[in-house]
Amino acid sequence: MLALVGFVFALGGASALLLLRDWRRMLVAFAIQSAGAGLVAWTMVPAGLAAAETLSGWFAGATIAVSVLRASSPLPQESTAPANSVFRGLALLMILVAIANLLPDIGALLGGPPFQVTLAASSLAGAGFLILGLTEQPLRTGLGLLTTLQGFELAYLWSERSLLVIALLATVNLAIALACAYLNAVESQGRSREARG
Amino acid sequence: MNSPLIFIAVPFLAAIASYGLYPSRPRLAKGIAILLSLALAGFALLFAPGTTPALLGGALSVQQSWTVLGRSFVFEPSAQPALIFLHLAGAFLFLGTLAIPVHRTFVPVALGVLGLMAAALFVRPFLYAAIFLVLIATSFAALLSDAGHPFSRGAARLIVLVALGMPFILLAGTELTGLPQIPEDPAQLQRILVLLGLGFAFFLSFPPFHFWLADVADDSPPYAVAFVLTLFQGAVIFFLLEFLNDYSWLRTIPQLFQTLQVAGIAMSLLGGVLALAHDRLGQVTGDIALANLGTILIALSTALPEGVEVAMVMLVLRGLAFGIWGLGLHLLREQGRGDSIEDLRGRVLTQPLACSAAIVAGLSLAGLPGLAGFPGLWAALRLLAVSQVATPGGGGIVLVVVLSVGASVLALLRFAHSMLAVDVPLNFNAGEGRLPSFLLGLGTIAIIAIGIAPQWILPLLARSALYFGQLTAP
Repeated sequence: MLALVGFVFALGGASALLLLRDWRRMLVAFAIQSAGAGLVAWTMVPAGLAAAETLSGWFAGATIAVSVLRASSPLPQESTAPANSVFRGLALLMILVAIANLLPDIGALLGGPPFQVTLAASSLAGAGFLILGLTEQPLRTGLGLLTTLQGFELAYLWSERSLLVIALLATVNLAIALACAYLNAVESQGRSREARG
Repeated sequence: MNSPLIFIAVPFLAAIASYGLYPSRPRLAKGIAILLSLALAGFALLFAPGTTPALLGGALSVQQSWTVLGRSFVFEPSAQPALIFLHLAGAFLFLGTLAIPVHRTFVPVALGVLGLMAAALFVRPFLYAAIFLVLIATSFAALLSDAGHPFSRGAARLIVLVALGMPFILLAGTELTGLPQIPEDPAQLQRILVLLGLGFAFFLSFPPFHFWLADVADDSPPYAVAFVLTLFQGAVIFFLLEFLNDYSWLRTIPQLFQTLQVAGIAMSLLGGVLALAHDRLGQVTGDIALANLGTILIALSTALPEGVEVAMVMLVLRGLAFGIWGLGLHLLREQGRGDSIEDLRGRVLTQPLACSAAIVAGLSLAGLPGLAGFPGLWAALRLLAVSQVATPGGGGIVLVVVLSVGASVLALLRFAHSMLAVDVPLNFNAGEGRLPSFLLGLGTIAIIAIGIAPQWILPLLARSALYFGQLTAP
């Protein structure tokens, strides 16, 4: 039951992250997704380690939120045309169908975690890849990359539970969020300067 | 005294100090970075594992292992050449920052990167180095994007591609753990090879994951690019070498060396072709860097100990070329000027040393005979002739590499032609400044001198490959 709720949260968050355009809503979606990843992780590891999975996602999201709030110019708008959302939704659906078909093979490649973990991990990684492929904007790129890595971390928890590795992977998440926030801040300053002429 | 702790923690402490010092004493902050890098290179040389160093007549007790949260950081002999190379390259590149203004975060971040690189070399199991490589790539974001280069696609792409490589290496690690020899299950072996292949493809910029190179060289500060191309790609090559050293049974699989060779050929060919297609000096140098890395992989793919020697030589000499190129291109791009063929027209009149340094360094990287980059390239081509792995298509590979070198040289000559296109008689009015001129002149002379008399320095560099002496196909 816990795994199912976690999977719904993780996939729902990742889908919303892909489809939404407003950065506030995107960050809320990412927080929900991180909570879902933590719930799925809880089916494999003690609550403390699972909470680390969620918290590292929330910290990364908070880092990005602070960067957007302090940016000197708003994020460039991506197309909000319905066709764009339909395309993204269909692309995600195609990826999920492919994952469903390849699940046993993916499970073997990931070291044989339980079915629900493989499903959640590969769905997150797939959605993350799609986000990465559809944007050039640093913050969205960062969120896509964090989504992909969250999927991997979920699967990796099955075979590796060393505290140092978990701490390092959380550091990687935070470092990616910081790097993308920095790139966004510099880009935002550049846009402001361009706007002023 | 704990040597892993020194190599990891001291650069971070120095980074904090240099960040605080930089606004009021920028030269002091840079000086600290230079001296610290030199000191750590010396430390790696003198306090190597297995030696008992003495100080004031008494033997020093140096611990080579440091344990954190149940995992160890161990200074092993195979890490010694990498540590010496990375810290000497760091010192050389920090020296160049004396001649140009850099952002306040530049020196601290670069120092932190040296600490992370040491951690990547020490961590056990060695596979976790992949995590540190991602941390290094994210740190480089602070160098590759600044107020003068706000739209750095290359920085974001570097982070994404390196971060995507990490999961594959770590997943391969779960299969490799406790596997002392080649697995009997073919499916498991296939899984390991696929995961490792994908992981290293991302890390080593195999096509089609190569595009960050030209992007970074095009839209980021040139001197920061020199850091990334020297230190990061150097660290990745050492990661590959240590990997093959640790998992010796991997070397019994000829397909592994063939994959390296195919990737090297593709990178060499693609780099040459793209260099001809691009028309900005930064982009072209990024393409030539790709071709150069391809040649290094071709040398390693021969599965001969000499292949590692050639790779070591090429790694060091590309660092020299990148440093000089970064300094030269920084000066050429100053005050918002571009680096396209049109932008550089007639520039030799006002910036003769920057022009010649950028072109000579690029030509050296390409492997033009008579310059520092050539001996490594020549040795790599000679190795192909005697290698057991590259039997059937050896001649073809040599031809591909030679064509790539020709294309790269031609691409750079277009820029040289444009720089020299002046309507008035040549009347140089060097505007680079005293220190930049000195460093550019010295670097250019060094590139030419090593090209003319490589026997002075190359045997010394090649000797460092002894630490990877086991890296041969059984």
